[in-house]
Amino acid sequence: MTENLSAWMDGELSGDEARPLPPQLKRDAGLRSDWDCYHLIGDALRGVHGQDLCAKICARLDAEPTVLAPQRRNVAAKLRWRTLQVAASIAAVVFVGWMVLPGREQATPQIAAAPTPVAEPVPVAVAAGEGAQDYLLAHQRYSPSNAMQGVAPYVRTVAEERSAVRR
Amino acid sequence: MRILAVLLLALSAQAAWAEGDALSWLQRIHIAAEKLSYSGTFVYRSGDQAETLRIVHIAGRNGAHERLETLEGQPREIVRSGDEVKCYLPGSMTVKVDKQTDHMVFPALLPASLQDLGEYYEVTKGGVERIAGYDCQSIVLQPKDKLRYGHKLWADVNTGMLLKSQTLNEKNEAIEQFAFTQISIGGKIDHGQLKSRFLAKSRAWRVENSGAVATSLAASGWSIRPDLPGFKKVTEMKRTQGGSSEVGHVVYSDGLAAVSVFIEPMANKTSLPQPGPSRQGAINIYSRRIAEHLVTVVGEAPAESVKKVSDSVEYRKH
Repeated sequence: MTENLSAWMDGELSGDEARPLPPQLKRDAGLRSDWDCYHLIGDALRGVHGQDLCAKICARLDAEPTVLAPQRRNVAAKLRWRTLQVAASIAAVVFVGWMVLPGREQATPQIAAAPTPVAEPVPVAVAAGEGAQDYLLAHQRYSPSNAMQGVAPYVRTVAEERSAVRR
Repeated sequence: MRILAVLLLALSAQAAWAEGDALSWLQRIHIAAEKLSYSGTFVYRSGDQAETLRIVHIAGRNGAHERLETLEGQPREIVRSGDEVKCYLPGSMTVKVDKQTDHMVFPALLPASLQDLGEYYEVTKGGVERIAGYDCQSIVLQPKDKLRYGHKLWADVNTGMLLKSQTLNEKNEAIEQFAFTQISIGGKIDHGQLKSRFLAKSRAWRVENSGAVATSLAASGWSIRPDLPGFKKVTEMKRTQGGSSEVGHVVYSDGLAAVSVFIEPMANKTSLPQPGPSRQGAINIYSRRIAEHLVTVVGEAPAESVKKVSDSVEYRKH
């Protein structure tokens, strides 16, 4: 059976010969493990293994379209990361080899390069109505964001009018 | 053990340096906003709302001259010149004029010391990313409590000009975003670009002037004691709004976000908003009625913070 499996992987089996194999693979855990093992051997022989494989998977993941869902960052993940950071720092002294990995410190999850998609706010509040325009205009002047963005944040005041007109 | 101590010391020193470095980037952004002239197009996004706008900003000795114009739908405009803001709304054929009388220039709203900001936000430097064709340094401001929003900023490496900004909620989701798609920084910009396209037409429009004057709301029986650490009272005034000249306006700020409290007699209102929360982008609003008055709190802070301020408003009869 394992011989058949190997032959199938190499594309040496005819359609009829190969047909019983997938159901067998589904049933037989041992056979599945052989299947994995052969693939690993095959990859190793072709030189697609180790870092290369990882890099390829990473590249493919990076190329994946961004899922339009909010990035969640829970406390547990943050804690895990902090622990990792500390561990990495200590390891830096103990294991000099670690130092050859460049840019490691920069890859903190809070400031990851992937843009955070714009998500819907929690729908507890209703959209501000036309009556809010005066308040928004009066308030905007005192928003410190003006000092960084100039007149741009005033868009909140005029963005309001369109929704009022639509209604 | 000693090695570990030295290591920890070095790490904390490095962290302090890194934070100082990130804070100095904020300073660069402020200076760039004040000193640079630019013109460009940016996209504003908030929830499912998106607007494309054109902005012209000319820095001058007596403050900036700016024009903001929406490029989609009805053309709406904001023209700011020194301490006067004019809002042209062709839909309602109205010009809203807001002139500053307290002579507080915008950069004065900056935290007196950037270190104060570090008390309520963790400021870190992120990676360099490309925005509108410019290499930008990203800066993350993570709030240390749930009373304020987080921010991520992208500033041009060469000039410090802010080219993209996001306001982040407690789940780190962007609830509002400004991003330039095209910008030219510096160089000569024609002053004609600052002129409103409605300048002639608007002479027949209704003009609403805010006519703000300094006042004390405490003198008329109002007390506001917001339990928001870091938020300090910035200014207090009386303004004309929606036909009423008796609108009290108090502003609190932590240096990055501001919260306004508006108090006005209900008798002067032609229409009353529903009490409770509403929002526009990163701005939350909370409306409440106290002693025949309408109290409206408006701020770029989480809904809970805005409500907290609203809850702290009290009226005592003399």
